[in-house]
Amino acid sequence: MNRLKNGLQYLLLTGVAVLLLFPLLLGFWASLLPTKEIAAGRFLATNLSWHNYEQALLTTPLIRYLANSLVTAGLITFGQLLLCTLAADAFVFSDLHYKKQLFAVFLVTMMLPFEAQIIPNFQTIKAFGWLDHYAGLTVPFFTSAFGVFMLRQAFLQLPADLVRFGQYLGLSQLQFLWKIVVPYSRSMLVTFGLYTFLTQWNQYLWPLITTFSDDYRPVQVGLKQLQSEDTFANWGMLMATAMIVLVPTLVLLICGQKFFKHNLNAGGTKG
Amino acid sequence: MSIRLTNVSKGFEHTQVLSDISVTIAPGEFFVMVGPSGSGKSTLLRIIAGLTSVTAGQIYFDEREVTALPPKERNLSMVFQNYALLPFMNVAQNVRFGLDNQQLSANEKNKRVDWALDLVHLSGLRDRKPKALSGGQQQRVSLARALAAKTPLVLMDEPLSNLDAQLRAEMRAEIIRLHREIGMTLIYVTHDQVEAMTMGDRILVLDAEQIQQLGTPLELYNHPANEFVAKFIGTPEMNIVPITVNEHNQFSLGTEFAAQQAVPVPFALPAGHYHLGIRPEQLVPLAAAGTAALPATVADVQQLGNDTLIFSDCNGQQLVSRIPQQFEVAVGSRLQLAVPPQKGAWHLFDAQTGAAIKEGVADGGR
Repeated sequence: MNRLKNGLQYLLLTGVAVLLLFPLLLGFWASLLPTKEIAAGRFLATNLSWHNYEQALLTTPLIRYLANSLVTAGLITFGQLLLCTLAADAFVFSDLHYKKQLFAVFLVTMMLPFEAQIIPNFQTIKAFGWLDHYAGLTVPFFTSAFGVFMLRQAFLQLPADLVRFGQYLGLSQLQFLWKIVVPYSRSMLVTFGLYTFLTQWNQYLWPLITTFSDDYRPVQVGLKQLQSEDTFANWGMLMATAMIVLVPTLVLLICGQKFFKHNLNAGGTKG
Repeated sequence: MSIRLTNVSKGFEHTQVLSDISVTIAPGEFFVMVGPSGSGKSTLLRIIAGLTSVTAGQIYFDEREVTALPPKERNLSMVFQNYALLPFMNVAQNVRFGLDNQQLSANEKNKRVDWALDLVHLSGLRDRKPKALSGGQQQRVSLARALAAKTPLVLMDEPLSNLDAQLRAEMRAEIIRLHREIGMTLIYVTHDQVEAMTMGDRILVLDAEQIQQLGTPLELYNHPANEFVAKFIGTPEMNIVPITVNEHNQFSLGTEFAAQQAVPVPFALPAGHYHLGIRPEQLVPLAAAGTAALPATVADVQQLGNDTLIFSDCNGQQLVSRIPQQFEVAVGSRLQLAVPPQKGAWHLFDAQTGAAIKEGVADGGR
């Protein structure tokens, strides 16, 4: 009975996995085929090669896009880690009056969808002359209510005796944060960092409207750009670029799996 | 280092926690503060540490006023109930962490770490992370960290309450040994009266914002100042029952005098209502019925191996006796409980205030 149940569960899981992976596998397969074969609809061709990857790396600005994405997502991750940590520290450990009320107001901003902020943000960035520049891509994302919320929950787990220990040692608030709180919560900080990096790597709308040149365009917008260029009907190569863009996220996901499973669940139940 | 508190009070927004506490602690003393949860004992410790401010009163360390000084400038160390170890550092690093903000050479710090770990017998585990240690070992690390600072005053906030009974007994002996070897002033907070009795040179009993009694363990046990202390110190609890005494120096249990149950008082006592306290070991069954005995019905018997506890019902009052041997008695059978003849075993309290009555009982008091 139990074995039957188990078998059915695995069957269901396998089915869902195939369904989810199908587009990815199709893309990967297509990236190995010459465009001519794809255009003719001959998906079962056998002349597979890495030619499309070579072409993608050599003839398109893909490397530049990757570098742009790396800089953008990296800067935002650093900015969020720094500012969210400081904000969460203030919400948890400072003697601020009306901390809880302020935090509630702060949380409300989490419920304001990003789409609603696009126009005012765009105008601000434009006024600063930051359009088509790293500053415009990163500064608006340097903090997030979600990040502050997540880190606040993590910091609240710090045992009260450790807080007293820090007090009697005479640590300043920053020393306490740096020497005790940050190392204590480091797995949560790593999780949050990975999460931020992945989210930012996949940003689309904001870079689409604020970048105009290949000098600052990140990969996701770059891909679209490649596809829309008149000369570019090279599907095989486009698929190859898409596959290359996937690699960094996959690496991060696999490396960070342990942290994600542990911490996102913990935050969920304890929050 | 001597510590003196004068008229210390502490209130939070709507509640008073401590009122008018004055006490002097001698240099090198093992001073225990005990009380039920919510009695303000931990707050008082944090006030001495400088972690909590006072609403009124002054604190002096060696006659230097420290009331407004932060903990760092009070030159003390602290041991916490939950150890407060840093999970991302190993044992030696944890001990060293407490020295980081002291002006010591690296060489001296290393020496202190080695010395402290040796004192608590943890030298072999110096590279382990706290997670890989038992609760008792973690608390040893925490002790070593406090001792490494070599401060003249060490504060301990219920350091043993997270340990199981066997480890607790072991660590109790350990802390007493460390105190003897090093000779620092030690202020120790606990809710456990056994810890208080076995460890302290002197004990401060706190309850309801106030000092209930201050004294050596035996003073507290033999001469409790009021009903609260009488019940709090000693297990099983002291029997405390209302009694009524008539003009013929006879008494009976209850708030009304019952002539048919009257028993003579073994010393002169003015007529009136009292609360009588008798330790369980002083209330033992008589082999045969006598005049100076209370008739009782056995309600429950607990065999402890070395001791036997007999819970009995006497005229509607619950009494407990402790007999220092194995004693067979059936539940429901009748017993005669001997009223102790010596005055010292009689603890009389004012029926209204609960304060110990000293006058009229003459040589029983201090």
